[in-house]
Amino acid sequence: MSLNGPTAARLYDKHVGAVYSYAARRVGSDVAVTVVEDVFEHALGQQARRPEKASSDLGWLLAITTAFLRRHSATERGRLLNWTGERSTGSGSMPRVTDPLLSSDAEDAAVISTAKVMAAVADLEPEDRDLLFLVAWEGCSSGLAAAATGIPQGNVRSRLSAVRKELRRRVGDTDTSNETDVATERPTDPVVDGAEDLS
Amino acid sequence: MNPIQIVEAARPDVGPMRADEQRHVRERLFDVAMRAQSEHKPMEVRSPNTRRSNALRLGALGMLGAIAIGGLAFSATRDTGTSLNQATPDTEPDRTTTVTTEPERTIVVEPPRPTTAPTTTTTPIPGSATSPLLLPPERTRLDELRVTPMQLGGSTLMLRASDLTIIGLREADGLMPPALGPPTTDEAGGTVPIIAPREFNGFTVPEPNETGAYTANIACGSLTIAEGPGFSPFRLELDQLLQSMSVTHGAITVALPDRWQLISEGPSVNEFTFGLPVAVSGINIVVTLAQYPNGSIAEAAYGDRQYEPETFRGQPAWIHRSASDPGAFDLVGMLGTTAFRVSARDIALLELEFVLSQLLSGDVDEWIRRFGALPVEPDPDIRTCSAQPSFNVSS
Repeated sequence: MSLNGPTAARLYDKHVGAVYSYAARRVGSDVAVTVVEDVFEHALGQQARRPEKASSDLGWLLAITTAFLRRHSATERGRLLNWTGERSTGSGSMPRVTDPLLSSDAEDAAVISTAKVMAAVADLEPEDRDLLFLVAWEGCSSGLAAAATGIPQGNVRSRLSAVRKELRRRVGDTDTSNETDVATERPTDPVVDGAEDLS
Repeated sequence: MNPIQIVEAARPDVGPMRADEQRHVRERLFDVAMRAQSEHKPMEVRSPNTRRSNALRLGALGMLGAIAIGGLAFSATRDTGTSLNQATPDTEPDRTTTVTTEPERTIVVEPPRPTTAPTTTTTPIPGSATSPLLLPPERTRLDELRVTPMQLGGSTLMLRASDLTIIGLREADGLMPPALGPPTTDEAGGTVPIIAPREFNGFTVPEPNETGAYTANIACGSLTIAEGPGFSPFRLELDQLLQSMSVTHGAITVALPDRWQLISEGPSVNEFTFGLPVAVSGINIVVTLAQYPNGSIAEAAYGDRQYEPETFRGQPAWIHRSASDPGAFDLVGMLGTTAFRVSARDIALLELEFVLSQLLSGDVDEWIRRFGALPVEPDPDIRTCSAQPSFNVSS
């Protein structure tokens, strides 16, 4: 599908927010703007042809975004290896004191745990990292995640389970020993319930 | 928590993309210039046809004895624009007599982008059904850009009273606004004099607000009468108009009093607005153009301003000159089937004509391609009744 004119403008308006958020979470807001421009320039270019098998515009754009994010893998890896947790808005997180004289990240067990996991994520295979972030951060359904990564939809859950095990192995954290399968533990997981759009 | 849940809990909050960044990306993608991106030096264009420039031109012709060449140069200065000039080539007023005291001024606008389009392309006529909008040249920085959605079922009327003042009426379908009583005390607790609402033929009109607008509830909607500030509440002419009106089940009938004129009438339509920076003799100003495809002068002029007759591009128009801000004005008129309102300051109407002549003709699709989609939900339909008839005016 070649895009031009109002159709292209509508596509941009509808999905620029999702593309930006996905990119910004992975490589930061400054780089994300560049990624957004690259993604839509590619998508709207005359040479760009949307694959017939692409299930949705968003899945197609996320696939392009994922590809362009590879150009910034060093930036992403640096962010993951130096994870401070201050960018997190995890539910139930407590406000943290940032004065180093009063508190230290090294003393915060939760941050340590997150930092270790994020460092492990940095060492994942790129395809696994893409899948993980699409599901865990962007709330993609299995179909959308499959469209964005090229992984067959039927393999998404098993691939995610393998990612979980790999992370557990890398982290070696005893706190994760009582984990259960993500699909059975979180029935509202979008991978399970098949939500179509990003949250 | 398993590792995936830890990752999920660490989801960064990035917030939305900044509006200016989003627009800059859009402009780059859709080939519209932004302020910091212009790659071309501004094009300087001589203001056409002032008396001084004509004299210089004639002098040069005499000295060189090259009347034909000079004539071509003169024509060249007249023909840099275009589609707008083509619209009414034979109806322009005599510009040399219109502007007799203006010194020669230079108008600088952003340049149109070089194009590879074939020269045989037929320029569409602005204000037509197929090209209802004027658009800025591409790669032009804009100071303002918006689309104001139409008011569902709304219509506007523009009348000229016997004392030559302008009174606008707007009918809006929808829920009746809550009947709010006027405040009885001011901020300091002092008593505010209350002007009692007045009963007319089928409707009640409360006192005007600070902008000189009276809003009356009618069946399934509201009626607003606007004349601007500075008039006495329920002055003679306004009372005369209200006495001549009747409202029956939302239908508004106006029997114009003697020596009153119906200037314009029309339904509410979408408003497309952009602010075009222009340098006039080195002074930067902004020309704001609001356009109403298939709209009316009544729609374009509605508000709290008084307008006087004017001629613009050889066509009847209306102008409001600000008393508090000398040099500022609003000009409304029609360009084909499109109503427009230009707001600017410190620019002569002749120069304004030239600025508008540099604009391009286009349609709504072109606007969307360059600037983005129209508001997704232009105006939620809150009407609880069927659409009300618009004004029924008789002399």
